Amino acid sequence: MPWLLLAPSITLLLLLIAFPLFFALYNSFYFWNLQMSPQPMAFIGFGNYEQALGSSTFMLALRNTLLLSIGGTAIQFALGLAIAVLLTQTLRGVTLVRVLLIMPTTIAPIVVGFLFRYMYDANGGLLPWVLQVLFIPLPAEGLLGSSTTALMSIMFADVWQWTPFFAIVLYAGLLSVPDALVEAARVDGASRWTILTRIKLPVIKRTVLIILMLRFMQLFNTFDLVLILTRGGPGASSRTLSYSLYQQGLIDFNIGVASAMTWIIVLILNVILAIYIYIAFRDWEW
Amino acid sequence: MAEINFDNVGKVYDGGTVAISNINLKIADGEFLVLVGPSGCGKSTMLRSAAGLEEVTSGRFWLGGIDMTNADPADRDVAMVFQNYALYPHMTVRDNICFALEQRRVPRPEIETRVNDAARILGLSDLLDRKPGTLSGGQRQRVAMGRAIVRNPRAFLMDEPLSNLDAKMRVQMRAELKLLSRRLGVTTLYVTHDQDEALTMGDRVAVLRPISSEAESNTQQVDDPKTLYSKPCNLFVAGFIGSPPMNFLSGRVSVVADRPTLLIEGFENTIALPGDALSTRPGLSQHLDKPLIVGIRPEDFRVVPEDSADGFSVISLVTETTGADSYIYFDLVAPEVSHPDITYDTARYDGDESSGHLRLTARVETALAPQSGSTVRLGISPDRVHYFDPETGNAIF
Repeated sequence: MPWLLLAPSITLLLLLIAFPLFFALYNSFYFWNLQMSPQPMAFIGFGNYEQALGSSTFMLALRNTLLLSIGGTAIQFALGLAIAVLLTQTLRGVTLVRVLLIMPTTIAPIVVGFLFRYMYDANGGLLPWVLQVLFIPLPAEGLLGSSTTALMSIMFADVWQWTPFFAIVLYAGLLSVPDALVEAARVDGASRWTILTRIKLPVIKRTVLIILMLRFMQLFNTFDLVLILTRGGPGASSRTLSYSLYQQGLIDFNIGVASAMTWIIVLILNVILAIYIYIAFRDWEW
Repeated sequence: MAEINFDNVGKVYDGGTVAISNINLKIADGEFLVLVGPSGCGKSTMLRSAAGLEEVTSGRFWLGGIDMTNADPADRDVAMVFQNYALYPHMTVRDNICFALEQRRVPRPEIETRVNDAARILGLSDLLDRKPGTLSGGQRQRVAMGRAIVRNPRAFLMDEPLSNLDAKMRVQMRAELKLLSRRLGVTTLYVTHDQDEALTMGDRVAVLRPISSEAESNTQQVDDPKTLYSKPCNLFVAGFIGSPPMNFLSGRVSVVADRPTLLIEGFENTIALPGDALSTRPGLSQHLDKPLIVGIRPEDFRVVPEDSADGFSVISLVTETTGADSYIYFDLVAPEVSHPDITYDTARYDGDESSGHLRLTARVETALAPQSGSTVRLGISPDRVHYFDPETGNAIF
């Protein structure tokens, strides 16, 4: 009887997650290019994995992905926390800011991509102009055209879009900290900074750990911004693992290699998450 | 350790709500003073302004002779125990207790000694490495105390620290806390809404009441528990202190045949007062033959023999036994006494809505108590009767 009740969700899980994953696993051991055949063509063992890992851009894409996801998560958390702390103050206009803050998060990443393409435009874009005014040297190829700034530009767009998410979640978290705890700490002689770092943040640790994890996972799979802003270029300087996967599967139609890459990405991400969960949630119970 | 002094302190909220006003209260060094009153009487506001968590809008607050009116909580060197303990949930008991010492940059070895001492005093030594979430209510309460005593503060501020414990634990902790405070000799300001707690713990007790304008003062009476109980200064204090509360009746005192005599509405007989009643209570002479509010505590009724000429016969509606004593609830054919400070919160479950009946409570020895529904003859102790001016509500001494 319990199985009957669980059946619908298990069926859905199998159909939507397990099946595609295992279909990809199967394909990853075959040579299969859609331009040559509608069917897998030959069993080649770990050939696809060797090709994916051995390609000249794989390590670069992995490095970019890690930079983007770790850097992006860290910057967004720090900025989001600062904004959240400001939001908890009784300042003029805070209510309006709270409403406006959610807006970037509601925009589709593709739209954000286009928005920033115009903002980065070397001929009259907003950001190059701002940087010029501030006497910050710009690369001659433009922000998106230079291999030194392309990845950072992608990260900046993502920071713009997702910092408010951190701010809102952390703000809600900070509000949930009981006043009495803060008052106890004040009577104990703690400074504002100590109260934030030693009382408030540890109390909302669960929320913090979960949003850090969520955002890291999303950033690890960043694809839309890369597609719209740089297409992984110039060269492969802003290529992420997800963009490589897209390139293999939907541009080169190399289903075998794309399937192998899917599994490589799933494995890397899950190993990182497993380590994170092991360390972060060790003393989960209070 | 220090003397606490509220000098004409007041707090009005932005919306104009008056929380406290005209508070003048001196708490001697080492004294245990309890603030008691119904909700909204400003007792927590007083405590929180003493801690610096609430800004006062008028008056000065002195601590150990230093003006601390605008001082930050951190600079006041007071320790506070919160109602829900406010233990830091993510820290162990040890870290909770030493947090304040760390903030004050006390050297590590000294922190260790002081934490261990505090833990020993409170019986927490085995719990030091546990998190608050794994402790029982009583243990958490002791950790909260540990956090306060480890600091050797100038004063303890306690905000209903026992109200989250079950009844048995509360009584036990009451005694422990009192012992601890006497042993440490630290000035203590203790807030409670529980008058039993107030009377058993306080060296002195301040009874507060809610106020609506800045012209009034919250403090009604500040006295030692015995005086507070035996000589309440007005109807509010008389009605608030004592459980079950004092019975209020209408009456008057006249001189009949050279003898002061008390006439209570609804009583069969007049009551002869002691011959010196007017001289020991000079205020009464001015109220001769005028309407008075008469207060009788439940325990000042006594059972008299059925054939006695003294007293009056009543039917016990309900007899409740608490052990050695029993409460008798009975009705008297008399109007309810109307004064803003007297509230009859006894719901009339018998459906008898008709006024003209006054419900009273008597506390008598269980051995003499009647069964519910049967008749008993009650008398009163004339020298234990309280008199109040029906206009002002003030006690007549």
